[in-house]
Amino acid sequence: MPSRFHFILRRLLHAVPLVLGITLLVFLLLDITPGDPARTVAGLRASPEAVEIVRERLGLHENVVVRYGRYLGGLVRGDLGRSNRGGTEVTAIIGDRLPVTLWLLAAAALLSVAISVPAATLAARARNRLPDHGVRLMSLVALNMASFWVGYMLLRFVALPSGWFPVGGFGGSTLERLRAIFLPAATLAVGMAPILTRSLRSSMIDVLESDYVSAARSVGVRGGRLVRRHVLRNALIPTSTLLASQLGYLLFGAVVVEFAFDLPGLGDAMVTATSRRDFSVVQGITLVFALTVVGINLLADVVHTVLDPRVTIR
Amino acid sequence: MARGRVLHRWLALWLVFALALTSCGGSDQDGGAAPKPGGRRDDGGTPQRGGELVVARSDAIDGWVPDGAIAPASYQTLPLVMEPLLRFSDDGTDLMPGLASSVEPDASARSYTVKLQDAATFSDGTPVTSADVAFSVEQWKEGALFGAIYSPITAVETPDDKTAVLRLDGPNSFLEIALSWANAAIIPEDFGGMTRDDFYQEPIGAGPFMIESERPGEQIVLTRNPHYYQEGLPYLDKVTFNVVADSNERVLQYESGDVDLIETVPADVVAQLPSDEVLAAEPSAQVVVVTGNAKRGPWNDLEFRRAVSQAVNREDLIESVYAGLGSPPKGVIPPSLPHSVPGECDWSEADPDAAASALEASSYDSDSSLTLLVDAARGVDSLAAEAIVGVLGDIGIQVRVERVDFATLIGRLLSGDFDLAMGYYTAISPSAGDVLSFIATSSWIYTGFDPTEAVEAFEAFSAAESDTERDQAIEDVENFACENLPLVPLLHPDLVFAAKTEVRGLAVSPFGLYHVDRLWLAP
Repeated sequence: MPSRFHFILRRLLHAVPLVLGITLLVFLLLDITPGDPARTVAGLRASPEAVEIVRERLGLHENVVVRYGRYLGGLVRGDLGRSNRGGTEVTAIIGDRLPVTLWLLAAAALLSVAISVPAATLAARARNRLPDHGVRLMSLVALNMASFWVGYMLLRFVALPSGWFPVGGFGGSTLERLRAIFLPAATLAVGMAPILTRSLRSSMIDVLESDYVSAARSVGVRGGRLVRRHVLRNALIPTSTLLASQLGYLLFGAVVVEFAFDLPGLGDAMVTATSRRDFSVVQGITLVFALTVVGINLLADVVHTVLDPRVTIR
Repeated sequence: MARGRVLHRWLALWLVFALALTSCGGSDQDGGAAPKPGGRRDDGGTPQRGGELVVARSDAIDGWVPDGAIAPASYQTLPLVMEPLLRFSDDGTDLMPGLASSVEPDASARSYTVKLQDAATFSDGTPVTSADVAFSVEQWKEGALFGAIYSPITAVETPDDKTAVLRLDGPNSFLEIALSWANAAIIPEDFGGMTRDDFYQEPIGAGPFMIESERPGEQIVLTRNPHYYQEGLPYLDKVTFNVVADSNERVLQYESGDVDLIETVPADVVAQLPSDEVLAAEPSAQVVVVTGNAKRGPWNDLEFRRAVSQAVNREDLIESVYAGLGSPPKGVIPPSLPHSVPGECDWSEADPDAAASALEASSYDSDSSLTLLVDAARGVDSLAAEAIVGVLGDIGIQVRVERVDFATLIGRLLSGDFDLAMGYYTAISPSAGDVLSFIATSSWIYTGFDPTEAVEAFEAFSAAESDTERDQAIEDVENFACENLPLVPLLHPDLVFAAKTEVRGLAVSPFGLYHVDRLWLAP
């Protein structure tokens, strides 16, 4: 146990320069992006003098090094700055919107697993037969569908006619939230499930051909029991790592999906803040995304060591 | 008074330089909605009190500080809580009393006498007094963005609780218009005993509504102000404004019944809505234009500008791209504004042969390729840009469309890093001077074109003592624009709203604002 604790601590320490590097990169990218934040805030009718006042108020009159240094200072104090628009604290925006994004990610991951496990099992057990071809073809098609298009189709042809799901927003009660999150999560799952299915199918085929499965068959273990107890448990190990790494990508998919479904999450806020050159908000959300990806990868490594006793921590 | 100083006082307009994402073909006109003219729904019936209205809009407000209000959403929302002294009339062609029952200029327009409504009361039950007006004026003048507009007010006298006299530094007939803006909010003296920052977290005012809750950037919920001075108003108990950035998503929420009213529906999605639920302000106080960089070729050549202007068939453009939701331009000033006077040009005429001849006579190098900047967020303008590129190509001008986001577009316009650009500007109040001021101060909408003529016209307009003089100032600038083409107007697009049939009392002004306190829901 102590070794696992040290492993986590060491990985967290390694993540610090990585996260700082990401924030620096985003800071520099925002600095060279065309479009003056001061003019965006002041509006087109503002005089050059008024724009300068706004520039000073936003601290944009100083060079990028000074501003980044001030940003890091704020970071240490837990101050991510304020939005250009309305002056809301960035931490408040993140606190308000993070739960929505977490709901979405969790639901998308669950749905993806719920789709991929039976599909991969079916394909692996019927290898090179019609069900296998069907699963592989559907995976291929799903992988090539743009998430914003899938989202719009689900809204237009599922949510609207059925009335079972809200067309936008997040709702207040748990039930309302589950209804609101289902279609956006399904949209993300359409992109993620095929990746998991292909990985799991491949792993299951390997396991099905292994000696210990043959041995299990020889002693009469068959059907669902064989799959559950001997095949799936072993085949899921590489897929769980893949799932963790895919959660990082899901964050970026969430940006599109939240915007398309009008879900008030971090992705939606990121899109809006970028168009407004609301640098503090973009920077704050990027930081959260970076930390989340680092955290998920770390979790995946730890889970891997737990699931697979052959893997040791050094 | 220095010319630049005068101009900065009168900056007043939205300009959004727009582009458009191309999709396959124009908007579907078959089965498309046929908006009712005039921007007012003639629905009859006796107004009913009560109910909640949910509105979807594309953008959030800029916060509650009146000086920071620049977005249309701010102009629509802030006065609902912090009502100004004056309001625009329902048809958007005039001013009418707001918190002030009257605002009377003296004969020389060097002072305005403001009489407050007797029943004017803040939402906390405190009566609105002239001291509140004096304090509010102080706040307006201190504003970084709009302070210069109100700086001609040198003093506010308060002879009694309900009378305030605004003393000006010179004759000024235009200030009255600026008293109707969201930036001229009336707030309690000394912020009602709070700090400025605390007050603007959840401000109170004497408007028809007060803030119930807010999720910045997402949603604002307003409830009826029980102390509102207009008896019986507002009709609604509650109004919720939801920010839904994507236009298709707005329409879907409307179709699903989650939303009762959509503020500004893009022309390319209007056809998805039932025709009896679509309402358009037409002609609007908006002008879609093509501009160019006058500091470098080829836009600095009059013959080239003529070629561009004559190549475009406005009526075809309106029918094919804007689904018929617009009208050919009457000039650079929207015709729906008071004192708008058309010039000598017939902008609806297209003459490809004359355009080709003008191009031949210009210094344009046929081997050079130009870019046309457009705002990627405005799909319908993007389609228009593609159409324009086509007709310009027909006469030999090689142009490609470059889609950028709004902030990038503005940055490149201001830095002169562009060849051609497409965009629009809109008035925010019922005055031709409103638009004229922006044309002048923006060097003819950021082309870098010599603004002298526009500046002089605006100064003449401001100092005019009669309507005839004001009309003449506008006519002069229209004729100059007609002869010199600093920018090329394309159309006045209709400003389209969608509202469920049970939403009554909706009247959309030519500049896209409406009075929420007059809305009511039919049972």
